[in-house]
Amino acid sequence: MKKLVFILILTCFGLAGFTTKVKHEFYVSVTDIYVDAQKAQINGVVKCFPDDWERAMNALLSHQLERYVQLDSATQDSLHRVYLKKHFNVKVGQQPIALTFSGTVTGPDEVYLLFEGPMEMPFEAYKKDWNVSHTLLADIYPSQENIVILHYSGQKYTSSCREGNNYEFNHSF
Amino acid sequence: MFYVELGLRHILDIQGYDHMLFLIALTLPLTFKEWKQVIWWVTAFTLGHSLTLGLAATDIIVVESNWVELGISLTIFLTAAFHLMRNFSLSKAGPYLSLVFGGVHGLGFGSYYSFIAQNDSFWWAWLPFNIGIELGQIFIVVVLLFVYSISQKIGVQLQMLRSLITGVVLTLSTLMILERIPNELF
Repeated sequence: MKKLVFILILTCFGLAGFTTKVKHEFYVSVTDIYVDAQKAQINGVVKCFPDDWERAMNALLSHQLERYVQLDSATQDSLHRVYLKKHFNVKVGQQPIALTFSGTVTGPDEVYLLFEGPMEMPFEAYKKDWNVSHTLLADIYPSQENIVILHYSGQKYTSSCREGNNYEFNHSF
Repeated sequence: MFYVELGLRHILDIQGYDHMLFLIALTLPLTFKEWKQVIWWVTAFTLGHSLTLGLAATDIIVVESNWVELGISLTIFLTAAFHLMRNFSLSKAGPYLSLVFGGVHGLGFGSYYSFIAQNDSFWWAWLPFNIGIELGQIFIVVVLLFVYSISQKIGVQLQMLRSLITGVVLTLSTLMILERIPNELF
């Protein structure tokens, strides 16, 4: 009985004093990067949650009165282009790949951002020295984890850009 | 290997401490002496967790996330209360409790997993992800039992320590329950 009273007191004390929100949110995106030898192109897609994406876009518009959802699709795409360029950088062998945003596809629970860039080196050169820096949404959510899957010649490598690795990783196939 | 690491990081993520809290509640009556039970209980949790994670991620089981979140907090509260009622004695029901409640926790990861796992690697990544979760759980449990063991050695009464931990677990899980009660109930 004594123990029960003790636990009850402790519980009440904790309830009164503990004000931190007890909730677990996951902030994650998934990016596929393909080396397409046939098209001589590097292309891919970033997948993220629509509500997270909207928040990032609204942050870009913070100095304006407009909200992201009120913009037409062309204006939204121009925002996507700016944001992606700033937050997503890929180098191979120290050479940056000039990735450009190429369109948006909106699914029921996801936003897909398509991108592409020229293949300026021989196909074999893309086997080594990848450097991916991906801070997408990390400006909004520091716990954001951007999972990246590199596809090269039928091989696949998965890693992620997150706070723990300074949102950056290197890889050679 | 990435998915093993991902599973491991998920279970050790302090922001998502509901899993840790459940493990703390689950292992309340255990010590290193009962290492076989420890393995059974933790593995049963992983089995239940893995199964429902797969079923939820493939939409075979569909439960609204706010109900799952409420369910998770209830499992923590009930587990701690169960051990308290039994005065922290070992129960044969432990692995079953762990299996069923692990299933509830697995539902919470379903939508996350279906988002991160690509179609072609869904099941290929499922096993390593769950292995990571199991390893993370074993790590947490070993640390807990180590704390119990050290506390005993320095003269802290184990029952007292367990009562204290139960109080903390009940407090936090009550908060979670209050915060997660779905609006449609009102």
